[in-house]
Amino acid sequence: MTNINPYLATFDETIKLDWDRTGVLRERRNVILEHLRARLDGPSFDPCNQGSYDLRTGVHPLSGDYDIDVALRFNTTIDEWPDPVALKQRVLAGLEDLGSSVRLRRPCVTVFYRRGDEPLYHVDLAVYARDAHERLHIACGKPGDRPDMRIWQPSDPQALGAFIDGRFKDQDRVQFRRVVRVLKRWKDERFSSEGEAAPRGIALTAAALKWFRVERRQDPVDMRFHYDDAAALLAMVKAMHEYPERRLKAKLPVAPGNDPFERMTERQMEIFREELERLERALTTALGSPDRDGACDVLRRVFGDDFPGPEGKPTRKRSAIVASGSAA
Amino acid sequence: MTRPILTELLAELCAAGILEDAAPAGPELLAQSWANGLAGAFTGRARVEGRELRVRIGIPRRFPNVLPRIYVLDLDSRLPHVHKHGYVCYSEHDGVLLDRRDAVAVVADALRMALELVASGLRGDNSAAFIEELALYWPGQALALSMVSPGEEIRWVCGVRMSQWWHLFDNRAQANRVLPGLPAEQVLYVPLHEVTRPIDSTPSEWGTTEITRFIKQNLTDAQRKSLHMQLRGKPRTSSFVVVRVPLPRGGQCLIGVEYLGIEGEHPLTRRPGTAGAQAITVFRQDLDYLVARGGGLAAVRRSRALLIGCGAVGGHVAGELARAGVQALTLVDPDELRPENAYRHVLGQPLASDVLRAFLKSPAKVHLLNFELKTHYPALTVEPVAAAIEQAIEAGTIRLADFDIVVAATGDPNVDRWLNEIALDAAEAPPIVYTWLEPLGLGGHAALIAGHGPKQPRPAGCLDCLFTPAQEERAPALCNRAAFAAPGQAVTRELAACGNAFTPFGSLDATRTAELAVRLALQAMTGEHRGALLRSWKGDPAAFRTAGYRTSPRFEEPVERLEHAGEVFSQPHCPVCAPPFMSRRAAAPG
Repeated sequence: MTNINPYLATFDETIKLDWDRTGVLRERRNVILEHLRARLDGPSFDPCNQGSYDLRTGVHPLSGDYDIDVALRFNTTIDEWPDPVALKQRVLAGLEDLGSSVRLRRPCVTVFYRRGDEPLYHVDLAVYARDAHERLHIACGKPGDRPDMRIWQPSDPQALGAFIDGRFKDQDRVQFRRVVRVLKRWKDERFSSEGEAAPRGIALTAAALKWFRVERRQDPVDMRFHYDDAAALLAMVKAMHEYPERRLKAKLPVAPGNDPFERMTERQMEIFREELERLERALTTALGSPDRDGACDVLRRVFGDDFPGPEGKPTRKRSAIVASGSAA
Repeated sequence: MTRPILTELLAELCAAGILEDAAPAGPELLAQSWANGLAGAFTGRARVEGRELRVRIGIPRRFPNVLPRIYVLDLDSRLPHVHKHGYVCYSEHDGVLLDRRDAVAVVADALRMALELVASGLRGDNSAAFIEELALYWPGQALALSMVSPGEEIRWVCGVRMSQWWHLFDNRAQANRVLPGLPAEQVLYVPLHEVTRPIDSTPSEWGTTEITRFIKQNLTDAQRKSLHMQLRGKPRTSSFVVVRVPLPRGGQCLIGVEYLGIEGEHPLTRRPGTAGAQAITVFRQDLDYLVARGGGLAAVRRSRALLIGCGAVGGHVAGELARAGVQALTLVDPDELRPENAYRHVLGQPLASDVLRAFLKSPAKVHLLNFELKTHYPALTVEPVAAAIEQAIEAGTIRLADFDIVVAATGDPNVDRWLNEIALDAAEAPPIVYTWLEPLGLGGHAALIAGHGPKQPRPAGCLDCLFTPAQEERAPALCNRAAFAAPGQAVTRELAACGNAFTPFGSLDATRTAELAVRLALQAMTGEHRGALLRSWKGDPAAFRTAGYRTSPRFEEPVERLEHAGEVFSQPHCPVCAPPFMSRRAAAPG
């Protein structure tokens, strides 16, 4: 039996995309927003982070193509802008002289940054407006779409975060995020060559909301709660793998309430569940491994090279000299 | 009690009808010796078992803080519990609560209890009480202090006479240790096994014949023979005999007889010569008696304890182990007593005394503590070892298996963890209590680790289990799971220069920690606890928090759990005590 939690903790430290630490991305986002504010021919807006930044479930991408999701909540109503694409075009126009490649896509307006041919990062700007009841809607569609594809769809960029905050408290929530991040990296690692076979990150978040259970134990002496991420991860993967239906289903608990797994084809789903089985096997083997080296080897095969290797000790090394606080 | 109040009380008592023909005692009567300490008295009559007796009720000056005194006159024979001047010992003076708002009722109750006792004596119901009180009646022309452990065999013990006092010891070695350099004499110890016959007259009136008859008639045949064999044909002019008398309600007392001017054979042989006898009052000072009297435990007597660390906590531990009745105490500490710790160490500032300074080999704490303990508990054997425990064990001066209990009060977790591994590796080891405290009155801890015999399996749980993080810990850190202070805080202060850092705590904290540790040690010795058990006391966190420090989640636990119930803290994955033992340290993270 090996405690792989210190290694999972190190792994998480390596893969975690920390908004507070990604200074370049934050700076770039602010440059774009200031540029837009200065040049926008349209209503004013309040920006906020959305997606994995808001949920703090983001991981460093393997390809280096970071994405930043920003919601622009316009101080206008969907009645004043019956065609959502019109408002998105104002955003596009406001960013035209930014010096970067900007494209209007169906869910958002995207600013691309590249170094040579390599994508460095992109900023997705999603456009929102309120209806008469103050509910937020996202602008969907692009020029040339049929009118029924150019719609305002009910969606609140921060609703999912609020839902998670309500569902998991304090350190429970932190464990939830850690497990999601590990799964996202696993997804990037295992499905990178599969293209569209990979489930989206939001699907893993939706899955965690359905199958993740907090795993913690209170030490009867020091009374601290010890979070067993390995057990939580294994239990979740096992539950997904053993899900009795052919297709995994996990509806998002907030508007628009869709199931992000729906977009996967039968074949993709099949591959996904095979990978889940492999992950479950790897975790079980690692936990049962008599030594850490063996455990790390097995896990590196599923989580990739960022998982600490047999030779690598946890980066958060414990201090060997501490104040004892005791006397007699 | 003021005169008007006394007069009023006496009038009220006389009028209350508790005695017939009651009348206050006059000044002449109150001037007599029996009335010593009385503010006033009154006399009357009462009927007991068909007889009319004169009764005096004395009101002490301290009444109603103390019981009234009852005297029964006109008795023509001695009754148990009735003493000189007819004073009736109807109740213990300690442990009673008096209704101070109703003095008349207190006196009436006292009279009722006294007369019931007298009635019982007149009926002959309580004659066994004579034996119970033998030591009290024993006339005692001289006095003896006895450290002799009362055994079941007739034997020679040792006596040292110092002016009017005899000091009695089990043997010459004990006599030399306590009163070095004084000549010792042989003293005969005679344990009576059963005193069946009530004593038919007052010992205070006994002569040589009655005293000798009392001893001889209660000897067994084997004892008579043994005494005869040991004493005959060995002429001596005087002989001190200390006699053990078993008491009917349990326990035993010692009485002494000194035969003087013996001519012919010893008075306790079958053909005695002539001798004069003087009764001697014996005060027991032996370990069994004193320990039991002091609330000590039978299981602890004759045990050997090792105390490692004689600081503020250890100093108190030493005293409490001695008072609990351990027979031998080995003290290990390399340090000298520092004057700056005087106000939190049990020894205070002893080196201020020239006498002590001249007496001691060195100012090491162990020597000072040895002196202190021996002064107060002469029966205790103390072995001071002025060395670090690592050195003492490695040099073979200390062998853990030689002790029944170990208390480690170094307050140094590194030494404690080393000792823990040594004990676990040893073929056999006694139970060990590790104790330490936390700064600024936050609390103190005592962790018991079970001992093991040569072929016994080691019970689960060792000190290192407290330093072993939870199995699922994500960021294992080096800390003590028992701590009340949140980890990672250095709580020391410096009053002088570098190297004088100290942990702020006071004598009360040390005393409380020592008490916790010794109680746990005693429970281990009596077999009440056999496995690993952690107990902690928690104090007021105000000073700690005001100083800017944080407490741990454990500090929030209820006192009932921390201090009384205690916690089992063994870790199944402990690198030191969890099997397999052989591969443990290689796999340990630190």
